[in-house]
Amino acid sequence: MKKKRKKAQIYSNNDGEKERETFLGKQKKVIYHGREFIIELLDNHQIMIDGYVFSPKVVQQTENRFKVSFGKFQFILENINGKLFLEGEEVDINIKPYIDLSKSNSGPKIPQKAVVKAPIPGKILQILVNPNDTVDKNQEILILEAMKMRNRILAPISGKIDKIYSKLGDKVAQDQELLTIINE
Amino acid sequence: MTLQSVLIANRGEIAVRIIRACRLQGIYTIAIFSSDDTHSLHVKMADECFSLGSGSVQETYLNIPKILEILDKSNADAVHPGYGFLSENAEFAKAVEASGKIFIGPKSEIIDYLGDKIKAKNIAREVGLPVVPGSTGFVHTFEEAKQIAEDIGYPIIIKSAFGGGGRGMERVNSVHTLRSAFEGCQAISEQFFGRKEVFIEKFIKNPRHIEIQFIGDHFGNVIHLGDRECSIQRSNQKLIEEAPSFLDRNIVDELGEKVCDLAKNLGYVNAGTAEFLWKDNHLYFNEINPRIQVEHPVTEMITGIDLVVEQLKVAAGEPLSYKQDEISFQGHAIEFRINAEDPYAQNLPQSGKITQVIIPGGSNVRFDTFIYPQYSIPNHFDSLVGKLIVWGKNREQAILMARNALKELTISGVKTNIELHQAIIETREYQQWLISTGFLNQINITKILRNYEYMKIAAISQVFELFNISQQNIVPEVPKNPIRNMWRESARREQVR
Repeated sequence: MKKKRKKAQIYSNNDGEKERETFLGKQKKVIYHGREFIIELLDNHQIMIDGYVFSPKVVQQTENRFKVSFGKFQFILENINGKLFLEGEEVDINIKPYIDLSKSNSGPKIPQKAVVKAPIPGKILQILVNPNDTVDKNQEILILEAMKMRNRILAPISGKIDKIYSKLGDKVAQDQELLTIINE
Repeated sequence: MTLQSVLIANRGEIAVRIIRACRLQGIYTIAIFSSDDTHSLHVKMADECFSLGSGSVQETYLNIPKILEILDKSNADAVHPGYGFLSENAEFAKAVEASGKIFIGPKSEIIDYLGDKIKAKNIAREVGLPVVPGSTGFVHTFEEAKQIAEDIGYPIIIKSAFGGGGRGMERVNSVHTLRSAFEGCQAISEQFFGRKEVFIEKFIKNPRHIEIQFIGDHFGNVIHLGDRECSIQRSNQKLIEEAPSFLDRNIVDELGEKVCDLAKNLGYVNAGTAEFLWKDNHLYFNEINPRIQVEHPVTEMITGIDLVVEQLKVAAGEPLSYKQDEISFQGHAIEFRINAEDPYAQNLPQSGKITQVIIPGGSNVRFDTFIYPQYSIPNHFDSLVGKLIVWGKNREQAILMARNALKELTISGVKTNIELHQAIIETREYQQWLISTGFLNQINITKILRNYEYMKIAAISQVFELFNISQQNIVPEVPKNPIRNMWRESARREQVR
C-alpha cells in the first residue's frame, strides 16, 4: 500500500540566499503528522510549544544524525537519503508562518469544510450521524471495521454533516471520502 | 511415540514460536499460508509449506475443509493450532482426531465443553472456585434477559456463550439499552462463532485480570505454572501482561491447586489457562482458555519452562517433564504487545512495508516477532507485530529493563504502539502496581503522549534552528556521477573482454 508522506520542509520567506533562516521570536504554525501546534523560539535555545517551554540540547552530532536530549528523554534525528527520521519514524512536518487570528479580529469567519476519509481500508459497521446533524469536534461519527477491530472515526471539526457518501456495510478503500462536515 | 512432523495451522509470531519449539524437538515443520502471507516469516522458516490460496480469513486460516485436505496430503502426525483462528474450534479438533492425527491441545469434547461458558462456570463451582453472579444457563429471550438483569442488578454484561476474545461482549447499564445490546450480541455471536446463544453476568467494573497457567498429560498429572496479571487492556484486548501477579503467594498456591483439580476432573490434557477477575479482595472465576496464550512467555521467563515444547511432549504421549514441587518461580517478567497501531490517531491499525527493525538485546530480553525489513504487513489480520518480553529480579528491575528495551526497539515504515507502552510504564499507577482493566480509561495517557509529541517537535525545531537545516539540505544533491547499473556495467565488461 502506498503511503502519502510529505517531505520534511520549512517554508520560509527569506529572500537572501545565504541568509540564516531563523524564526526566533516569531510564532509558527507546525503541522506534525497532520496535527497542528504553535511554536515559538525563545532566548537561550528554549522552545515554546502550545504554551509549554522545552530546553532541548543537541548532545550528539554526526554528518547526518543528531541526538537531542531533554534530560530523561532523548530522541535521535537522522537524515537518510534526504528524508528526515525521528526515532526511526519518517518525519512529516510542515512549518508555516502563524498569524494569530483571534488578535487581529479581521472580517467575517471563513466557512470551514472537512472531508472525512477512511484512514484504513475496511468495512462501515455503523454510521452514527445523519445529514444535517450538528456534531462536535472529536464526536464519534462512524465505526469502521478493519483488522478485526472496531475503529472509531471522529469528527475533525465541529459543524453540520453535509453529505454522507457511504452506506452501512460498504467496503471502503484507504482515503476514500466518507462524508463532509461544514462549519459556517 | 514421538512426533515426526507437525503442521502449524496459524501464522504470525505464534507460528514462528511453534516452529522454534519443533526444531528443539527435532520435529519437521509444515506451514500453511494465505497468498497475503507468501513472504511471511513462518513460511520461510518451516521445512515445508502449503498454500491456502487467496481470500478472506474465512477462506484461508479458518477454512477447515481446506486445512484438513492439506493435513491429509502432508505427512504431518499432528496439528498445532496456536492461538486464535481454529485453536478453540471443537469441530476442527474433532475432525483432526477422526483423521487419525493428533490435535495439539485438549480433546475436542473438552474444547466443546469449555466452549460452553455456562458449563465451565458450573465445573469451577464444583471444585470450590467462586464464580461471577449471573444467569445459570443460556438466555434466549429479551424478557428472560430483563428478569435476570433485574435480579442481579445493573450494570450487567452480555456475553457470547461460545465466543472468546471479548468479541460481541457488551455492557448494559439500564433496561433502555438492553434490547439492542442483547440482540446485537446474538447477531455477532452467530456471525463469528456460529451459535447465537448468549448469557448474562453481573458487570464487574474495572477488575484486575488474573490467570493461572496449567498443563496436564495423558497420565492424569496436572501441574500449574503460577499466575499472570493481564490488567492493562484496551477495548478488551490485552496490551501488557506480567508474571507473577500481585496476589499473595498463599492465595496463588490455593488457586493453582483448585485449577489443577478442575483440570483433573475434566480429564484435561495439554496446556490451558484459567482466567479470574479480581475486585475489592474478591476473586471470581471467568473462563478456561483451552490453548496456548499470547502471553505464555512471561510464565516461561519466571519458570524456565518451554511451554510449547511441553505441549509437543504431552501431545506425543510423554508424561510431563516436571512435578508440581519441581516448579519454582524466579523474579518478574513483563510482556508488551507491539501492535501496528497509531496511538496518536485513535489507535488505528496500520499496514505497509517495514523498512527497518532494531531489536533490543542484552540478557533477559526476548522479542518474538515475524516482521523483518522489507516485509509488508497485510491488512486483514490482527495488528500484533511482536511481543517484547523482559525479565528482572523483581518488578522494579523488570520495569527498568522494559524502559531500556522499549527505547531500543525501533520499527520503521509502519507506526506502532511502542510509545504508548513507554507512556504507560512511566505512570505512577503502573509503577506502584495500582492497575485494573480500566487503566487506559482512567489514566490520561494522551497527556503523556502529547508531551512526547511536544518534545519531538522541539527536537526537530532545535536541529533546524541550530544547524540551519532547511529543505535545500534535507533533499540530497543529485549525484554528479550517477551509480552505474551493475548489470549494464558487467555486460559492458563482457563485451570489452
